[in-house]
Amino acid sequence: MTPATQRAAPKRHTLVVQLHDRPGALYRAIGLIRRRDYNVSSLVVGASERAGTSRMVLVVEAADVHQIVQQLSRLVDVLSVAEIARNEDLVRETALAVVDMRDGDNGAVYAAAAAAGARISHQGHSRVLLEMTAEPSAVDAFVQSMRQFDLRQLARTGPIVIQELPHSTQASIPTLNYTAPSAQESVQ
Amino acid sequence: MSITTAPERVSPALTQSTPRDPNLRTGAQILCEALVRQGVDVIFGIPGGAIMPFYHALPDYADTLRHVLCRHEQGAGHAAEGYARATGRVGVCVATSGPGATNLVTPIADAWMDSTPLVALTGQVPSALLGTDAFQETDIIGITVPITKHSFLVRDAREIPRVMAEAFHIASTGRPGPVLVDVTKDAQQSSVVPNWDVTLDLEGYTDHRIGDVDASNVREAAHLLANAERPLILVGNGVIQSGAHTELLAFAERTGIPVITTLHGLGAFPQEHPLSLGMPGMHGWVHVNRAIQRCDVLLNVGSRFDDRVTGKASTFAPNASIIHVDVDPSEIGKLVPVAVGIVGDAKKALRALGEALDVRQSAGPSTTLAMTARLTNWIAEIHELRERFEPRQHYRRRPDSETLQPHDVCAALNAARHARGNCRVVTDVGQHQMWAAQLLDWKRPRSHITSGGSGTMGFAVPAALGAAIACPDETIWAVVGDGGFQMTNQEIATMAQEGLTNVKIAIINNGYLGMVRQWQQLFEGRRYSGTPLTGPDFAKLAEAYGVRGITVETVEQAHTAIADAWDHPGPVVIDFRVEREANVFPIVPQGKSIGEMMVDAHTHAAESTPALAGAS
Repeated sequence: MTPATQRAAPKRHTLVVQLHDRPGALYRAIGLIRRRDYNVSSLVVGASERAGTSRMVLVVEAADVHQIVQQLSRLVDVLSVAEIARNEDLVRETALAVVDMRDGDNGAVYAAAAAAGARISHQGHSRVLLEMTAEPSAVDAFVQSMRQFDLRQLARTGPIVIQELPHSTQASIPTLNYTAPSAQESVQ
Repeated sequence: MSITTAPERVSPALTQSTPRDPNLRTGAQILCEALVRQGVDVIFGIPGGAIMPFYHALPDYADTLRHVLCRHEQGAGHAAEGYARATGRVGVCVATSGPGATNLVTPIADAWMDSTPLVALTGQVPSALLGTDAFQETDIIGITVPITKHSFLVRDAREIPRVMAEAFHIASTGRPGPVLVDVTKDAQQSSVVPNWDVTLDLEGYTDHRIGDVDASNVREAAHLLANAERPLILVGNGVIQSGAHTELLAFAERTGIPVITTLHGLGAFPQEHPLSLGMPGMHGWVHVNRAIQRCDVLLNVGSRFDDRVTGKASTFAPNASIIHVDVDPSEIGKLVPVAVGIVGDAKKALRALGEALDVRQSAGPSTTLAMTARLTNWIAEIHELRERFEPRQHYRRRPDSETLQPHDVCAALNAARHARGNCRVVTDVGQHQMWAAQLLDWKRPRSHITSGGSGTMGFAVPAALGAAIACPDETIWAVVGDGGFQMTNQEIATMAQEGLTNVKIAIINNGYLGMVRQWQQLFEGRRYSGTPLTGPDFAKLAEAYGVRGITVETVEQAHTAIADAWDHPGPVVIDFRVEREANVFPIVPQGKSIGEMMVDAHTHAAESTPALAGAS
């Protein structure tokens, strides 16, 4: 990031973009972010409710995303753009963590995972794969708690979002009534 | 690369030995037919390996589709731009893959910055070789993503009718701009039965010219204008693109609000009109910039607050509520905070604003007539500024000097234009561009064509070629510096080959990259680094190209040469050897407020009145 181009301190902004699933569409959208020298801290692109379109969730560190939103909207392949307010929308992220357990700390790892709300996905001799799907801040807390152990691998999806329908689509999305698994259910 | 087709120009589909569906066409033929269906009558290009199938098909369409062989793809691109800017129609340029395509990058960027409708058609390596660093393979779509409105990679000939319809639609609607269509060689070669019954698949694309402008925003803007004491109208390219000059004239006359025209707005409002103030910005007039700094409501129609207009944006029009009309919503509030933004077509917005003010007229005391009366003082104030500064802004010959000045050339050209009419001027980038903008009279839209946002030296000669082909009944003058001329002068060969009679090139030759030299003189203590410039004898160069060349060194010769050039039935190059260190004034130093103008090398036109009175 070039300090001279940044007057206000950069903040994290989450943008939800629905776009045509066509070659080049993603490239164009991301190019606008690159042009401003903004850092993309997370990017998730996947199918949306509508065939032929994708939903992209983008977390950028930027002083101001107003112009980015405007310019994204201008792209031929982009159907809708919204900056989301997290308390109004459902935001979820998944983290996978591989933790090596030394003698005697198995119990501590499981307890920490349970406390964070993670569940065991695979269990090996002295190694465990933990899976956590929750609000990004809860995932942050989970990752932080795992760092006290021997965290061998970490992968995060980045946030995905379910929000109010954009104006340009007619399809309906049932609101997901997702609750993160409780500690009791997830770690057995 | 030579083409070894039989002279009968038999189309490839018909040369097959087995009986085939008579409706079969090669992708290349479909491309040609798509161009014809879009009403294209001329394309500018250069062939090469990956676009050869297209060129193979082209002669079959020669009756309706004129191909102009340029000498460099950059020239083809600018020529297509010149054609588009002169006519308002989509310009088309064609190049092969790799270096042919990359040579189009500069004109594509130019068209992007100046919202010029352009379709660039490029050949691409066969689809099986995409991504393998094949001979002359370049990812031209990847390269041009930031400077195109949209682009298409075509690998299947069946897609061509839809893609071409979409490309022309996108290039010419909304805020116009360049669209790239990159067609693989195999798609050009394969034979299919084209389906012309296509529907545009452009759900994410909005043409903001369609539909009415937002009524509540119009009311709000009308309210601001009706109550303004010192209103101004600032117009740019958008008025010309929209064809809104008639509506602008009506609106200005109805309201009595004075009009300023940006570089790309020149011609949108007749300069001799009493409400016309002239050009703002870095090389605008002092009274115009001062009026901007004093105005209380600024109505911007179709101009994008470029930094060359605003100077330091945070100090621009500090007393004004700004109303911004633009067809591109992303321009509103981009650089300057606005009180009211109106998204839409300039024509519709001006009509709606005029109607809203008329409604006010019948409803209450804020009548348009009353507005006009109230503006008398404001206009008088601006005119007083103009009278105070005009004599100082204009170049005065030193009594002891007879050196030809660029100002003399502009005066001679202006006189000839008045006498003859029916002429357009294409300028390049630099000092001569600003002199032409300042010193020639601009009366009608599309009569002034230049490279603005991108500032592309080398634009004028090929763009004049394109404009000359677009307007065969008019005389096209390219005004160009000796620096810019030497970047693309090879297109004189194209003019000669095409047998053009209506294009004349005026080189303002000062032996420097003059604008940079001027900055070095004014701001860097005359450290002329990299700016002294030599060149060939341009008149001889012209003769070598088979066109007429004239060298001019005096004012008298200037008048004669311009008249001779006008009468000569062929391209003419006039080498005006002018004062080497003439400068463009006024000037706002970069990054400064437009209130801080230099009217000559020593004098600042300070914003405060006492300093003004003291300066001489």
